[in-house]
Amino acid sequence: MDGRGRRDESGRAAGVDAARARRAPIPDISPAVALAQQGDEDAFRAVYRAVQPGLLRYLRSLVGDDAEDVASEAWAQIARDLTSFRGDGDGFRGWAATVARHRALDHLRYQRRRPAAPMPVEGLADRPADADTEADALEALSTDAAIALIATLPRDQAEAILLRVVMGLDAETTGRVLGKRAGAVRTAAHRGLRRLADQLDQASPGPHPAAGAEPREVDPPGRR
Amino acid sequence: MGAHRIRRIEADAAERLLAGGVGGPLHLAELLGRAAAAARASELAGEEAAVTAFRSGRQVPVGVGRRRSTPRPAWATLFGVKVAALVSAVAVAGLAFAAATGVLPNPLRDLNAASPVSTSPAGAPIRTSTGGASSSAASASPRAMPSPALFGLCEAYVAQVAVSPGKALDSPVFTSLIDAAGGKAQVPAYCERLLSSESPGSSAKPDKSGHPTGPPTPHPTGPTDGQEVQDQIPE
Repeated sequence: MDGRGRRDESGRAAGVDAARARRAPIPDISPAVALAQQGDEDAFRAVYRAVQPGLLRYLRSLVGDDAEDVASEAWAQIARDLTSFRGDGDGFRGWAATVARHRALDHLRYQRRRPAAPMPVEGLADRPADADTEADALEALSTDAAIALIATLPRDQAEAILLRVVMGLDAETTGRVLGKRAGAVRTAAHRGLRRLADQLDQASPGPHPAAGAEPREVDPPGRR
Repeated sequence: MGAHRIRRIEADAAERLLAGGVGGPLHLAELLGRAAAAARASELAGEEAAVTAFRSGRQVPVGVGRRRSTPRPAWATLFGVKVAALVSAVAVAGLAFAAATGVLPNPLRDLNAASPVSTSPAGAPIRTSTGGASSSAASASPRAMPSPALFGLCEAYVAQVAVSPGKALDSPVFTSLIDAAGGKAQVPAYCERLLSSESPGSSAKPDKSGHPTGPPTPHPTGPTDGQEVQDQIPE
C-alpha cells in the first residue's frame, strides 16, 4: 500500500483546493477475498464493491458503453474461478483486471465496435471568465469525462495509467496484466501523462502551477 | 540541468502521481483524482448478478470444487510430487520389496487367518474384509512390526495424495490402513513413520490411538512452520 493515499500539500498554490486532487483510498481487500473464497457472500459483496467501480472505468477505456456487459462477464468468470485464486487483495485486483481485459479484447475482436466518442478536449476551455486557474475548468469534469479523456491516449498509455490509477495496481502488477515489463508500463504511463498535461495546457491557456514552461507538439487526440 | 536529469525528475513526479500523490502539474493531478474518485451507486448496478454467479459456484458438490483448496499435508510436500510419482511406481513392486527383505506374508497370514488375501491395483496384498472385521483383527493380535501390506498401502496412499488429495482414502482398499493408523486423520503421520523407516520390518509400533511409541514425529498432519505447502494452481 505504499504510495497510495499520500497527499502532497504543495497543491495549495493559487487558491487551488488540494482536496480536488485526492482520490478515493484503495482498501485492503485481502481478508474479504479470503472469506469470499470460503463461501462468505457478504465478503464477496465487499470485494465486488471495492473492485467493480475501478474495473468499470478501466473497461470503459477499452470498450466504451459495453463496459457494463463485459464487466458482468468478467465477474461471472471471477466467481467461477474464485477458489482457484491464490494471493492477497492486490493480487486479486490484478487477477480481476486480467480477466476483465481478456473479456474486453474478446469483445473487441468479435464485435469490432469502437469505444464511445471521447470527450472533446476543446470543451475544457469553456470556463467562466472569473475562474482563476485551470483547475476550475476541471470542476465541470465528471469522472466519466476524465476517463474518456484518458481513453483518447494510445491504448497502451491509457491502460498503463488507468490500471495504476483506477484499479490501484502497482507497476509490476500492471506489467503482468498487460504482458509487459514494469519498466515498459512505467514508460507508457509517463508518456501518457505528458500528453494529458499538454492537452490540458492547450485547453486552458495561462500559467499552470508546477507545469513545464515550453510548449510542445501535441498529437491529435484519439489516435491509437 | 541535463536532459537526462530532467527526464528522471519527471519520471519520479509521474510515479508519485500514479501512486496516488499530488505531484506534477496540478491540473493533471486533478484529472487523475477525478478518474479515481469515490464510487457511485450506479457503478454497482451489477452487484446482484455477480452475487448470483457467486452463489451458483458454491453449489458445486463437496469434493469436486473443494479439491483444489485442500492443502496438502506437510508430509506429502516433504516427499514432493516427483517422489510421490516415483513411489507410485514403486508401490507396484512393494510386494517384491517385502519379499526381498524377508518379511513375507507369513505375519500377514497370522493376522488375517479368516480373511482371503487379494492384490490391490497398487500391487500390495490386502485384505478384502469389511471395516469391522479388519479392526477386530487388528486389535486382536498386537503386531511386533507393521505388516508389509500396510507398507504397500502407505506407498499407494502417498501416490494417491499426489493425484487427488481430497479423495485419497476413499477407496475401500485403504480400510486396513485407516484401522492400523487409528483413523483417517492419523494416516499421514502413520505412513510417514512407516515409510521413513528403512524397511517394513523396523520402526515404531503404533498403538490404536495413532500416537507413536517410537521416535517422535516432527511432522504432524497438516502444514507446519518451515514447510511450504505448494499449491500449483494456474491463475
